[in-house]
Amino acid sequence: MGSGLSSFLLMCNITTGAPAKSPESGLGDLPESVVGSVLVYLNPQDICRLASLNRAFRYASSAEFVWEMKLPKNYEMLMSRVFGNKVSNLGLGKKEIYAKLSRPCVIDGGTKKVWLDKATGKACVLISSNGLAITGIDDRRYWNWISTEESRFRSVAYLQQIWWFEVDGEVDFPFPCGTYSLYFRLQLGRSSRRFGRRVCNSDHVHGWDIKPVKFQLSTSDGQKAINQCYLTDPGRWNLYRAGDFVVEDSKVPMKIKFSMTQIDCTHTKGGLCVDSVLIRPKW
Amino acid sequence: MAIIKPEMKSFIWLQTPDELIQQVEEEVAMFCPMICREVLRSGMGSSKNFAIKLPEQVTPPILGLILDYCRFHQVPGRSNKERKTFDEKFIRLDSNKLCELISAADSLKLRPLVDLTASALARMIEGKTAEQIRETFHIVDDLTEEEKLEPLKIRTNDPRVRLLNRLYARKRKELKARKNLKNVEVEEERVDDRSVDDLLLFINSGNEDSKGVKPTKNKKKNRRRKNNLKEPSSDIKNGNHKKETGSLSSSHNSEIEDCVSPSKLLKMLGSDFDFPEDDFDDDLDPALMEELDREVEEFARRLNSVWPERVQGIIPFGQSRSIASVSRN
Repeated sequence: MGSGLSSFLLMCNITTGAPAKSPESGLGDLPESVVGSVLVYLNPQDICRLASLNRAFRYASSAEFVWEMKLPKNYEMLMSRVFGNKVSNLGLGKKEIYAKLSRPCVIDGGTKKVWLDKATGKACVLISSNGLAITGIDDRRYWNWISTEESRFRSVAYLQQIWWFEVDGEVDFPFPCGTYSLYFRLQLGRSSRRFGRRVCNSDHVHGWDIKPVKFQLSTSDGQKAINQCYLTDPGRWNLYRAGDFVVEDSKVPMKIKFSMTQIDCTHTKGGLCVDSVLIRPKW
Repeated sequence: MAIIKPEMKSFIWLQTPDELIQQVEEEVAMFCPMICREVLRSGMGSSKNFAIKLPEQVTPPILGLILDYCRFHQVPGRSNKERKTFDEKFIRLDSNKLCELISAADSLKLRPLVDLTASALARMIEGKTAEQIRETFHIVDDLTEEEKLEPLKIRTNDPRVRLLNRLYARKRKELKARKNLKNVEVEEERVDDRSVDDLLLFINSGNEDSKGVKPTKNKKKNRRRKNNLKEPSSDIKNGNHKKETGSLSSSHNSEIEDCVSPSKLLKMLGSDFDFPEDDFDDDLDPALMEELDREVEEFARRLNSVWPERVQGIIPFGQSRSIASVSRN
């Protein structure tokens, strides 16, 4: 028992011998730089949410190195493409740059909207129907512009009927590296609001079940994709995929040409709303 | 029978904050950049008397963990898969231990271990609200009310940001008013405490500096800090919404715009990049002020209303607000 007691006392001495206290442990005691290292692994929503936790988290959530990781590598190119040279990047912190780029920004005279997808940090580009080359758009017998609330742009193109259905477009944009998909946002039928309710008029919808529509895309570095698809499901906005492409070098802007055609002139088609073309990171 | 000669291993002497000294194999210790630097720069660590003093975060148990890590990883022949497996097992610690470990690894500049621990900690806190994290990890909220109401420094034309800043400005004014009131009360008490002699003295020395009982001014904190947390989060809320609905139905977007629709009034009055002070409201026409006030109220009401996804931690006023958790899709 004696030896037991003395060894116990010895143990006590060792642990309480030195006056140095153990450093505080706990998330709340981490210094700002360490918190920053943790925040790097969180998504932007969480980073902002945690800024109200305590002072270290607040300052760490605005830290440059944290947001630099969220921005794509070519963010400077993106900034100058989207905002032009009138906004100098000098005064902007990385967090602010991220905030600016992650909201839809209008470019190319209102025909396109661009933003950063928050989940992946890659760019999304939305090309409005008035940025597309639609065959016969000037002929009111075939196409009309209707204003709508269901688009990110103020109006969509509505097709009454036509034989030669062709919609082309192109975009030249410094996409960050990654894989992207291109979609056409279309709806069969014309929707409007009546007595506060959404009403869809499918009177003109015809001809889409005879032959499929061909969706194509091609890039400046030789990638191509084709997809043939019947348009279905009237009354709802659907995204029809044209294909995917890969961006390997984010320093060179990628030029993409895309089109949607149904040029079998033995039958007419109509009743289609063409809203926009969406390019977004592949899920 | 083979005779195994013990190799002449060299050791480095390290001293932990509790003044205990131990020796560690050289190649293991040199894996830590800070130790490596000390050895190369000042030649310390070569003997017991010249042990390298480790930073205070590196307590003996933590040092043990770190050395285990270094001992494993400094062996060059290991495959990536082995290293990953080791790391995954290594990181299975409770959060307090992880915090100690990350602080210690940071002080030793051991970047790979910092990153490993950081990702483990991030996994623990991701998806949680600030409230939940405070509870789970017992974090003290050391932000003052004023700091929480600092205006957003996002230079965009978003009227919601301006609205939010005005809301904050109003709250700050209220806060200041409350503080002033408190100070006045305190001041009155003080006057009462003085004795008759003091009062006589005070009266007699009336012409001189009798500023003994001046109300203490509120220290205006420096508000020009970079604090732009709310704008991204409010956008992110919109973005989150978009993702949740799947297709880009902009009817949904217009719904979002509707719910926090700023009036033309605010758009008109909103400044662009300049940072408004507290008193900017005062030169406005009172009718306009009232209109603005109502709008700000409406905005505040909407923000605090029942739609849980939208309120998600956006305003940290008072810890008593319960914030529903976001459903992530």
